[in-house]
Amino acid sequence: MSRMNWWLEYLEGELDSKTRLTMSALLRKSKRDQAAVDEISSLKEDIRTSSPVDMSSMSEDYFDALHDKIMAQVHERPAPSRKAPSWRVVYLPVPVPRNPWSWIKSSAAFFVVLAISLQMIQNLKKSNSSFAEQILTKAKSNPSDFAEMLSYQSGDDFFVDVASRNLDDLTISQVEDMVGKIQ
Amino acid sequence: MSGEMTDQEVVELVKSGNRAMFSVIVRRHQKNLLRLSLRFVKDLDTAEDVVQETFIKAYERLTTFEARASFKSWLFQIAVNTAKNKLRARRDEVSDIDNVPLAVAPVAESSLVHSAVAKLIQAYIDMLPIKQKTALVLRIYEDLSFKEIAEIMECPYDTAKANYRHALMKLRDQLSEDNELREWSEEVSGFFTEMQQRVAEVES
Repeated sequence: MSRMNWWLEYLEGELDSKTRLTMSALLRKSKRDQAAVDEISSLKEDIRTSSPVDMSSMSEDYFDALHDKIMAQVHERPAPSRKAPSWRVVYLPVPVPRNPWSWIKSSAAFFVVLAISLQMIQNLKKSNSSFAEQILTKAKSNPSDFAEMLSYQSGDDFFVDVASRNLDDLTISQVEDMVGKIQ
Repeated sequence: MSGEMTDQEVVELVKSGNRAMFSVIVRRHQKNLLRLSLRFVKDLDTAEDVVQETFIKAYERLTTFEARASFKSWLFQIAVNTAKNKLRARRDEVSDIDNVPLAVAPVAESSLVHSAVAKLIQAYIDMLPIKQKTALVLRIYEDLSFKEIAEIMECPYDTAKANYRHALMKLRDQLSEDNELREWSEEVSGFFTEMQQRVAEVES
């Protein structure tokens, strides 16, 4: 805080008593600080006396009239009422008493659905693996056709993926044959 | 009897349906509100409008007053906001610092000097950012505590104080610059007066 701000706090009575005492002592000794305090004090006084608001000429009649005008408007307004809450209470439907056996039926239905889902996943896996096996069988039995097929496959394709994972199953002559065909 | 009641007690009566008791509130605060409004909007007609609007708004929102601040602070808060809206509406018409005479002729009477300085100070106050002006007006003219100012301005205590401090320091800087300008103006004016006298002497 700048020196000026400290003196401003001092003049506004915003300091604790201990700090205030210390600063009062400082003020008695320092001409520079006295000048700062005088400057702020006279500025505040200038501002206070510069006020153009003078209500001394306003009579009580003026304020009576103003009061009556305001009260006439107040009487036209509806009485102040508590605001309706902006939220609404939502009543949930009362639960219907359930059949005690219903949870057994629900559980059974859940297990049936689960079993069907598992079976479907299993079949899908099987068909995928059998498809891969078919490809490999074809590759082993007829490497030249397989090599030709691989020649127009990119590295991202399914056939190449299956082949690369299963090359170990091929004999050296089959691999050499395939490579030879591709080249 | 109503004279002994606090604002809060009167408000509770109005809330409970005693509309006529609002008259007590109006009588108690209308002068202060008019004075405060005049400090912002400058002309009496607009200030009167601000006071009327303030009381009507206060009446309509009375149930929202929760006595966390004093009722006076709450009314002042509504009045300051209403006055700000009026000022915003006629922003183009606010006083222009260029229209205020900066220098006072050396021969001027002291009252004229004071009047010119007062006008200048008011013009500078009007040029302050609205938050700084509000803090300054509430502190210096209305003699309110920083706690009350913070309530009216709906800001933290330290922010209210900072706004007041900035306003005061800005005025100090502007006035000291202006003093230099006035001194220079007086010197120049004195120089020309002397020259005119010499020319007149030579001619005679």
